[in-house]
Amino acid sequence: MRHVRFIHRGAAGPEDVVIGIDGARCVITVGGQDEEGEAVRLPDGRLSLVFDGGRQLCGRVRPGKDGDVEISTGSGVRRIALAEPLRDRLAHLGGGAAPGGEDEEVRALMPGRVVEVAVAAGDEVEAGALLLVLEAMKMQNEIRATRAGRVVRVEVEAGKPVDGGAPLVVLGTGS
Amino acid sequence: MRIFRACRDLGIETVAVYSDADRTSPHVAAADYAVRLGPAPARESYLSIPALLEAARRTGASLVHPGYGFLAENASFARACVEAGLTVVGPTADAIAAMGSKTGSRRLMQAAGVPVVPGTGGPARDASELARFGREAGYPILLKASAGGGGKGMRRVDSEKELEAALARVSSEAAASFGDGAVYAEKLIERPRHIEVQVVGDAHGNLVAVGERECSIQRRHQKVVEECPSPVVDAALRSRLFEAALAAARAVSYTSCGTVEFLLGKDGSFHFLEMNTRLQVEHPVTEEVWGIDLAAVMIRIALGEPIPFSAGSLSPRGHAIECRVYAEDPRRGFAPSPGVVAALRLPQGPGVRHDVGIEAGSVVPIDYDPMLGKLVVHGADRASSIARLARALSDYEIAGVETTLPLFRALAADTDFRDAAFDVQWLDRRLEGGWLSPDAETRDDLLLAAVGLAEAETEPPRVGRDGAPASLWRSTARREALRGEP
Repeated sequence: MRHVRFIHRGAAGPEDVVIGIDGARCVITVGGQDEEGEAVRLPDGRLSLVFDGGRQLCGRVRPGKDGDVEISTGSGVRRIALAEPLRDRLAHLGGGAAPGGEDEEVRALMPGRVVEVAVAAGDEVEAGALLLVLEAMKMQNEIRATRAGRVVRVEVEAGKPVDGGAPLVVLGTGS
Repeated sequence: MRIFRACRDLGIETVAVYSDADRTSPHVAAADYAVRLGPAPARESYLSIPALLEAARRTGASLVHPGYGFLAENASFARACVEAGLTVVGPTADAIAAMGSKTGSRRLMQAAGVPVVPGTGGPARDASELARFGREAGYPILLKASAGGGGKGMRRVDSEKELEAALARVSSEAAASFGDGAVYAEKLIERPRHIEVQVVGDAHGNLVAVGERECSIQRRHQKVVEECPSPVVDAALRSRLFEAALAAARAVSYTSCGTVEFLLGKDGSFHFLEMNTRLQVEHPVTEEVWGIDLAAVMIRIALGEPIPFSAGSLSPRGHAIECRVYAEDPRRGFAPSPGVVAALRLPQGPGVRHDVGIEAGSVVPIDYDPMLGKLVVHGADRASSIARLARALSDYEIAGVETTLPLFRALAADTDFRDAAFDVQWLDRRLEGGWLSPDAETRDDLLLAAVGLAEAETEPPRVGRDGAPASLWRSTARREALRGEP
C-alpha cells in the first residue's frame, strides 16, 4: 500500500490527512480517525467511494484555483484548501514512499509547461537539488530531488507542455 | 432548441441562424439548415434584419420564429418579414407596436376597461393637480420624471405635507438629468406580486386564457423563478384576472401566444403592467400544468389553424416551478461567470424537465445573456413540486462556471418561499442580508479530495477502454489542450 500525506487547511486549523491506497482499496486517516473502503472511478470521471460500513460518496475532484482542490457534486461545488499549495507538493512527487534501490519516476501532478531543465542524464544529484522548473497554474514550481541519486533519464524538454501525471525525470540510485 | 423541437413534432424542417460566437452551439447542430449571420456582436448578427431575411431567402424558409429575446418584440422586424413574403410565428406588427408603447398601451387598456395603475396619465401642470390626485388615489404615491426611466428620477411621497418639497426635488433632478422637468404621479402599490396571464389568440377571433403564472421571485426586476399556478390566486380572483387579460388581448386583436402582466396588491386589487407580445422564457410552467405545447400552438396559429383547444376543454393539473439557471455568481453580486462547462449532469426522474442550451465542454460566451438553461419541475401540488425541486437540485452538477444553482437550493429550503410569503422585492431584501454564504466544505468533501489526490499521485495515467484518458488530471489537461490554452 502506498501512502500520500497532505495537510488540510480546515476551519478549525490545519489537520493531517494520510491516504493509503492499494488498487481500489483505500484507508483515509483524518484527525486520527481511519475510514476504510474502496474507491472507483465512474465512466463519467467522478469518483465513487464505498466505505466498509456501506456508506457511499460520489463526486468529481478537479484542480481548483490557487492550488486548491475543487469538489463538485450534485449538491454544489466546494473547495478544499490545502496548507501546502500544490506547487510545493509537486516537489514531493513520488518521494518518500519509493523504496530504496529502485528507480523513481518524478511525475507532473498538474498539466503545465517545462520552463527549465536543470539536469541531464548521468548527473549525480543531492537530495534537494533542482531538477527542473515547471510552470503550472501560472506559477513556476521548482521540482527538486527528494533523495540523492543519479539521473537515469530526462523525459521532457524546456519549453514543451506536459500532461498532468506525465513522467518528468527518472532518478536512479547513486552509483 | 425549444422551437426546433416543436417544429420536429409538426414535421417542419428547421433553420438555425448563428453568429461567430455560436458556431458550436447546440442549436446549430440540432438544425436541418444553418446560416451564419455575422460576427459575435448582436447588432451585427442577431439584431440584423437584412441578415435574417437573407438567411430565410437562401434556405427557402417560409416561417420565421422571432424567439424570446433580440427581435422578438420588434414591430419593424415583423413588418419586414411580412413584406419579404414570410409568415411570422407571432403577433402582428400592429399588436406589437400598440403594446410596445408605455403611454399608448396604458390609454388603450383604460379604454378597454382593464385596470391600470391610477395616475395623472401625463405630466402634471402644478402641485395642486398632484395634490388632488394624491387625495383621490390615496397615499403613498410615486412621483416620476416623464423623461426618466430605469428607476431614475423617482420619489415616494407618503403624505400631502411632503408633496411640495418632493415635487421640487424630482423636477429639478429631472431637469438636470434629462433636460425635462416634467413630472407625473402614480399610485404606489406597496410590495406587489407579479402575476401574469397566458393568453392565446388566433386569426379566427378565438381568444383563450391558459392559466396564470406567479413571477414575484425577481432580482432587480428580472424574473428568477416562476410558478404555475400562483399560490395566492383563488378561483374568484382568477376569473377576474382572466377577464382583464382577455380584454387587453382583444383590444389589440391578438393572434398568437402572449402574456398580460399585472401587479397584484396586498388587498387583492390588480393593475395592468404590460403585455409581452411573444412566447416567454417562463412558458414551460404553463405547458406542464395545462398539458399543451405553446410553441407548437404558436406555429399552428401562424399557419392559419384555429386554436386547438377551448377554454373549457383544458384542465390544469398540479403545480410547476421553473428556475432560470444563469452563469452568474449569486455570492458575488451575480457577476457573469463566462468559461468552459467542465462537467454537466442534469437531474432526471419524474416531474423534471430541462430546456438547456449547453453541453459539457460548451463555452459560455460573454457576448450574450448568460442563461444556461431552465429547470422545470412538476408535482401534484405546490408542496410536492418544491420537494421535487429540492430533489432535482441535490443532483444537478455544473462545474467550471459559477451558476445560480446555489440560489435555488437556498430558495427551496426557505420558509418564506415554501409559505409563498413573498413579493417582487422579497428576493432583493433577502440577498441584501447576506443570505447566501459560501458552501462550507464537509468531511465527505475532504475524503473525496484525499482519494482524488492520492490517485493522481500514485497511479500512472491510465488509458480507458475507448482510448480516452482515464486519469482525472490527464483529462483535465486534455480539456485545457482542446481549449487551445497552454
